[in-house]
Parts: sequence; structure tokens; C-alpha cells
Amino acid sequence: MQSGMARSYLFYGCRLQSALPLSFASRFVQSNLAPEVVVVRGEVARELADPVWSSPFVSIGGDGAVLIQVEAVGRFLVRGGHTITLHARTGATENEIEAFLMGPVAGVLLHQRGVLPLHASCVEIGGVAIALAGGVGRGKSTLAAALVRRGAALMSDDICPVGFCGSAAPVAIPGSAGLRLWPDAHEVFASTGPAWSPIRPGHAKQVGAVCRGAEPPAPCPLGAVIRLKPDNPAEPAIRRLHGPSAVWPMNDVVYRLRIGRALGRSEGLFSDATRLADELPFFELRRPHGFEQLERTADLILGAIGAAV
Amino acid sequence: MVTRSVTGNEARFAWLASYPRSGNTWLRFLIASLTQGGRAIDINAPGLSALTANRSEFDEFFGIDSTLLTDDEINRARPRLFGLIAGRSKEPLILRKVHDRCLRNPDGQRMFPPEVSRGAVYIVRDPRDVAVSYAHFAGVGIDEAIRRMGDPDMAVPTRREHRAPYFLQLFGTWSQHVRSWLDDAGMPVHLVRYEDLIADAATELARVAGFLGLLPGAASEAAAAVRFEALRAQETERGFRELMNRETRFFRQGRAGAWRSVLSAAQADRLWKDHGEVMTRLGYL
Repeated sequence: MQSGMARSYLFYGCRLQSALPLSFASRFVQSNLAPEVVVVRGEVARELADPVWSSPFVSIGGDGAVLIQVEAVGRFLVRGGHTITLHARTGATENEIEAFLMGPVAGVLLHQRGVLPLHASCVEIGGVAIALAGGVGRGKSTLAAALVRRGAALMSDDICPVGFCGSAAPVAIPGSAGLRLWPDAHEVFASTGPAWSPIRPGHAKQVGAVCRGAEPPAPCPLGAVIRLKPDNPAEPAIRRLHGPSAVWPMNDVVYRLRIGRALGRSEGLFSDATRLADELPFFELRRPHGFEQLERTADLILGAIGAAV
Repeated sequence: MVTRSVTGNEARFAWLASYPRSGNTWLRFLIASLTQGGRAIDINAPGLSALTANRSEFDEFFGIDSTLLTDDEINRARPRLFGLIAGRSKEPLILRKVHDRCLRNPDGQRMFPPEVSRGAVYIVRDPRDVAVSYAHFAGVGIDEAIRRMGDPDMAVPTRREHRAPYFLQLFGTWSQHVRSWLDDAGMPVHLVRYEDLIADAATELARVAGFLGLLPGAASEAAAAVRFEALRAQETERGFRELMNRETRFFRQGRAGAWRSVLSAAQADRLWKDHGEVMTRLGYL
């Protein structure tokens, strides 16, 4: 568990040096470049002094530090968009710690760094990134898996950072290569990917590294955002969204919008999201529960993207 | 939402609680129509499906991914969620659908805290009709439905079922479920029998309105607008987004006493053996 050697990774667009080995971030080999973010082990207090926002799992301090804690796993203190202090609970596995690093911790870090984190799983197909966006339980990972089966490459599961560079097209940045699926979806895709394991000991959800070829994904232009609506129609349907409705409600598009706002990113997130809607096609996808029509749904997405991008 | 009186910030939750297949969704639509002056209800309209077990509020208000948490971690935190929701909501009455039995979390706290609750409306249905309806709904045989209704560990979704948007919901046995809400909720509970709702929805709805502090004026219009057949017709035409399994339908028959022509004597006896005490108490003889 205690591994002395820090390793370098590409972590949601940042050069990361981590005291904890990560399975779902790609290794970064140009070690002459200084890390932008570090994960260090250390003591983290149970509470922040004078939190401005708190829940049983997350507290935000007046200085913008964020404490994420789960009793059985440990505490993560994220500061300044550059330092993650990990106080692991004795007995917590590296896998479960990573599950929180490549999730809530990464989301907080991106908010602190002023990067727009879409609540989306993202795949690349034909040099264009497609973000599958929506709140918890909408099928983002399942649809990503369906598109990977059709030849797409997974760029990130659940959180898709978006980079804006001057007037260039917005870019999707690779995040977690570990796709997380509930048992029913996992059963459908069990033969995809090298190995699946529970995200935490005894947890029903499975995670597997879904990759295409040996090369890790690189940032690529974001071609479209597909918003997954909570619905259960008989047939899947996709339609283009226009105007402000494309990014409304924003908590369905932006990962942990409340935390971003508490960190002073209200205006930044709003302007990033509306810029995205100005520059890219947004679609709304309604699909039936279950997996029978997954291939048809993938066809619909690929057809809509092909026509629009 | 039109209410007769607005109580304090603290006690604004009302739980629409029932064992599955007991009329909860129907009553929810009746109340929705009542609060909109008796208008017809689109069963697929957003905002009408506030199931307490939905993960999205938890994730949003707590700023964490509940899918990374264990069931115990989730249940330890859930009672605090409702206080947060009440603090941020301007609605004078916050209605939530519940299929869990009224239980305590691993720390011994009530999952549905009385201090935030105006009360609970508990909808009960003859367990013999529940068995028939549940068997159709879950795609299992009637014997299996009866077995599940007598299983103290009964919960959905099961490990293999689709559980992405929802928390584990703990039912327990049908009798445990009824007793937990009627005897141990720690808050005022208004009992509605499904059979009475079928017989006279307007009267039952007006009583529910009185209990919840809603104006009952449009109860007759609501009862007419949200007839079972109307819901069924909508489902036939456009589907129902709360239905997980497309093999079946949500609004099926809406009848009382259908079990008489479906259950075998042995099946009816088994239910009586498992639940006779509570059935007697509720008049299901």
C-alpha cells in the first residue's frame, strides 16, 4: 500500500505526480517537466476551519480548499488546483482511493483550476470527440461502451474537461480510462476490455480499462455534446437543441455545478457553457431503458454527428 | 402549489408511502391534478416523479457521487439530505414518493426524519391483489411474488437489476412494511385504502388534501381528470418513463378483488398465513 516512488501521469489534462499508483490515468514520461498537480500522503483534519459550504462528504473552506471525505476510504484535501493531500484510512484499497481521485477529487481540482468539467463520458471517433452528458444514472458510461464497441476510443468516463484556447475550437481533454458500469450493463460489455473489477471491495459497480490500441488518447476537438434525458420512450430519438435550452439546466451539463459555484466559478462556468453551445451542436437523446435498442441508439448518435460535424 | 396554510420551514415534507403496486403513482397524479385545479396530467411530465430513492438529489446536494458509495454510507447520510432540500426549496409542501419501509439507518436514525415531516400518506392494498399485480409488473410467477412479499430481506433493485438511477429500496415483508409506517413512523400518518380510492377517488383525495393542508376544492375535477383509464390510455399511446421493464405495463387493470379469479386457494392461504394479522387489522378478510 505505501509505495515510496512517486509516479507521473496525465490527469485530466494536468501533469500529475502521485504517491499513489493509478490504473486509469496514462503514464507521463517526460519527467523533466515539473508537475502541475501533486498527490501527497499526509495528515488531513476531519474538518475545515470556517467552511463556507458543507455536506457529510464535502466541505469548502473560505480559501477555496475542498475537503472530500468518506469514512471507510479516507480524506482528500484539494488546495489551489495543485495539491491533493491524501489521508487514507487504514485498510482502504488503492482501487477505491483511485475511484474517488478519478471522480469527485478530479472534479474539484478542475473547478479550482477554472476548467469546465462537463458531466459527461467522452469518446473520440474519426478525430472528433463526442461528449455524452447528463446526471447520475442516465447511461453515459453504457452509451460510451456501445460507441467503443463501434470503434470509438474512450477519452473519459463521467467527467470530460473542456479546454478553450483563444479562438480555436473547444478541445476535449482525456480523463479516466476506467469505464464504470452497473452489473446489468457490465453483463452486456463483459467481453470488452482487458479486466473488470469492483470499484470498491464488495461494491456492485464494475470498472474496466477500456482502451483502443496502445496509445493513450490525446486531446481532440469536441465535435458535439449529446444530452441524455431521463425518459423511457418506445424508440430512441435524437434532436438538435438550439438557443439557451442547449445548456439548460446547467447542473445537468456541468459536473458538480454547486461546488463550482461555491468556488466562485458561477460566471466562468456560465460563459464557458454558453460558448460551448455557440460553437458546437448540442443534441438531446431520449432512449428506452434496457439494452435491446443500444445498437440503434448508437446508430442514431453516429448519424446525427455525421450530419452535423 | 396552493395550500391552505404554510407551516414552518422544517416540517414541509410529506411522504407518499406504500408497498409497490398499491396505487402510489395514481394518488401522486391525483394530488398533482388537485394542486393544478383539477387539470389533466401528463404522466411523463418532468417534476412528477420525485422518488425518494432517486440518486440525483443526493449527488447534487451533497456534492458527491453516490455511485461510489456503499448502501450503508448512503443510508447514514440520507436523513440529512431532506433538511438541505427543505432549506433550499421554496415549496410550501415537498411531496416525495417512498417504497422503502419506514426504517432506521445503520446509526439508528430515522431515514424519513419526523422533524422535517408534515406527515405520511400510507396507501395500502389487499396483498392478494398486490401479489397478482406485482407478478405481472416484475415478470415473475405469482408464487415468486408471494415469496417476495414474505421475505424480510426483500429489496429492489436486486443485485442484477438496473440500479443506475436509484438507491437500494428496502421493503421487508408486506406486513413489516405496513406496520413500519402505521405504527412506527414517528409522525402523523393518514391511511388510504386502494379499494376506497377505486370506489370514490374524489372523497379520498379530499381527505388526503385535508391531511396535507391542501385546498380540496378541485378534488372532484382531479378525480375525473386522473381516472385510471386515462392514465392507462396515455401509457398505451406514449409509454411511461418510470416503467423500467418494457415487457409489461405500469397501469394494468386498476381493479380491486381481481385476485379472486387468479389466485389458487393454496396461494391465497399462503398470503393469509404470512399476513393474516395485518390483513385482519385492515379489513382484508
